[in-house]
Amino acid sequence: MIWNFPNLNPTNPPSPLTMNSDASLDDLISRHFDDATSAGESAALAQQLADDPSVALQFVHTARLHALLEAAAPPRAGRRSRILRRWAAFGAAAALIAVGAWAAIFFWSKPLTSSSRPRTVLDTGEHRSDRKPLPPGVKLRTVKNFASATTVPPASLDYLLSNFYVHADPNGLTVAEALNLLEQAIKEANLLRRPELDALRFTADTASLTPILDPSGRNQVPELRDDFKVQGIRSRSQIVSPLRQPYTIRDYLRVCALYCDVTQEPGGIRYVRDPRMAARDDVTLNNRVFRVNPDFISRYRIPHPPSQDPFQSQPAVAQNSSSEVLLEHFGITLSSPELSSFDSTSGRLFVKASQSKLDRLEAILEISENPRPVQLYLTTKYILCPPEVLPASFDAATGMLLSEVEFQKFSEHLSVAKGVDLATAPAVIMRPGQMAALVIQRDLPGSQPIAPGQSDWFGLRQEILTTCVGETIQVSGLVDLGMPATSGMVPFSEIIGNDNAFHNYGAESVRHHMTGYDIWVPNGYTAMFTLDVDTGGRGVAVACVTAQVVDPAGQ
Amino acid sequence: MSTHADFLYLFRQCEQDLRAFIGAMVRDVHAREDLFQDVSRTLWEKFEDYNLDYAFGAWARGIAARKMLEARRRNAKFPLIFPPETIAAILEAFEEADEDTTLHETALRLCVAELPPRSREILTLRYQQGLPCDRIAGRTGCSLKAIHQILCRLRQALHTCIKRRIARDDLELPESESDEPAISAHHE
Repeated sequence: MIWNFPNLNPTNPPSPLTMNSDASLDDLISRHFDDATSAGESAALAQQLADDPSVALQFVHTARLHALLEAAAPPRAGRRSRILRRWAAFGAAAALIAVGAWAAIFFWSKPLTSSSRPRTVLDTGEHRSDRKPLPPGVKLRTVKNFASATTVPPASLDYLLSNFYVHADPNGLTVAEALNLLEQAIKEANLLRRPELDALRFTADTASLTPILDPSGRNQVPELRDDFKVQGIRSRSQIVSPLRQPYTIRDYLRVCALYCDVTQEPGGIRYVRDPRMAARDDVTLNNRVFRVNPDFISRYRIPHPPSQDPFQSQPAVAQNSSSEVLLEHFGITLSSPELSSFDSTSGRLFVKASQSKLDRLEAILEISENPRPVQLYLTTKYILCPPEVLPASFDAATGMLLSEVEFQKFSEHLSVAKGVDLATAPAVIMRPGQMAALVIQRDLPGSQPIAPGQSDWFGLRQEILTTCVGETIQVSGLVDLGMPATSGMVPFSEIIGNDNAFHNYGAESVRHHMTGYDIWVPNGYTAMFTLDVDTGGRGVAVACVTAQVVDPAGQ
Repeated sequence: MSTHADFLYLFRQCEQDLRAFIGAMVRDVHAREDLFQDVSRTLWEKFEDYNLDYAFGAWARGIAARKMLEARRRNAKFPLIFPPETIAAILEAFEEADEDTTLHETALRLCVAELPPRSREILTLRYQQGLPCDRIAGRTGCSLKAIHQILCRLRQALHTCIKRRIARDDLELPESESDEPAISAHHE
């Protein structure tokens, strides 16, 4: 390949003197990282790096240090904006519109980066980024028709507070900001349009919080000062990670304003502050041992707070964080003679502190170390039937939602209808944010490595990714059906069942029928969508996915 | 551990090094960030193909090198500084100097704290405010050449200091700093 080296001026070779001494080389490498080398010097450096491994090694050390120093300083924002300010008003406005349009397209199609990710993460961001792009030409079937979910039973506010999931990050916000964000997150995730949720208002404003039930009489709302930083987990990655469950509203409130509880009263919602939250000026120190996961310290990587001088006030980083540093990360500062220690082998955290601090720590650990173990139970039915068997309101393009009763009736109807091929895939139990794959495959004897459009297996592979959003469950993934290329459609009961006749197709090549899906179902509902399968005139192929929230005991 | 957890673990371990590799090769900060995102996405998409016997960092840098060469082929103005043979040499050097950089951040903080205020000021101007050397010279009243020399010496000093502290396992924070809250002040 002919390499056109940028701005290389072959008529101006580097002076041999510049490379004669180590000092000159150090200077050259250093200036390289300051963007202060001429084209000739860059060419000379490139040559030295290619020729001399020791120079390359030195270069690598400087590169690592340079990157560390860059990471130590806050992101350099505003470079582009400074340029933009120089533009004329019209040009700047046009550019901003263009950038906005580009950003809309970019963020719609790409996962958001950590620096630009909005604080409220609903169905975008981490979870969606987990999903691999659909193969070219594969259609995405989206079922999000909540208008058909008219039979969702009314739920009590108490139920909603404990079962409505929000992907909002209170990291580093004031209480007022965090509550405002919570309102926004609820509004966006209120896909079933419950008016009682739209009416919810969370605010740190004293007037809006009345009446306050404070049995102790000592703990007044003004303590929720506007500058009261959110006490909670401060690591963004811990909060928005798909490995961590989203908060329920109640949990979110507890993280924002510790021990704040919410109950439904005849007169409306009441915010009750736990008496334990009372700010006791206790001087007595108590000891307590908390059971935490053995990776308690190593799991958290504490972010650097922005500061004027990043080189003076950087906190210790996670790798060797002491338990005190981690407690500070949680908003609990221990001052001598208070202390803490962590035994990673037994997973025990020993803390000696005032009672109020111990109580607060207990609440934080309860949420962060023992997230509510919600699980999702998913079943999929694959149906091949004449079109007239399907419900009249079924739309092949948008699919439909069926309540539990409706789906039961539909299943009964299928059992007596003629020409119906129905198979139920094994159920899957998974946590929100996890990926799963349901695989029922039979090897193709003597198969060769996979070629485009072909594979070495017959059967079914269903990829599943789940996310709890508000009261609904988002399930997305890909259905890949491997069918004999020449024999055409194989009944679902044959693919998913244990029919050995399927092996007879082993000598054939395989044709894959793939359908991407992205469905949103209220708890217990079923989403039905069309599968892109060439049925050979044998009717319509649909999949019905039912999603339910269950506790770990499977109830 | 799930695939996703495996990936996150490996990626976070080599993220800083990957940024260092790309940063050494691509001049424009925005092109650098775009490339890093592109490489990150490719790593995730190709993670199923990743051979566990091979170092993840080396695999990631190899993909980054291919991506930058590809970007350069597609766009002649892509701000890639070095030709392929130099990139290959730097790749090798990164592998040879492969080391656990997780403690470097702490060591760097301690080493920077040891610097005289004047040196810290220049580092702040260079890295926090992102000023080019000529503007730093203007701000500090030094000549451009002097700024280049100061930065060069500072880097050497920091590199030596980091190595020394890690070798001696001298990574404890001074008492005065450990008393400071890690996170901004809280109101009890």
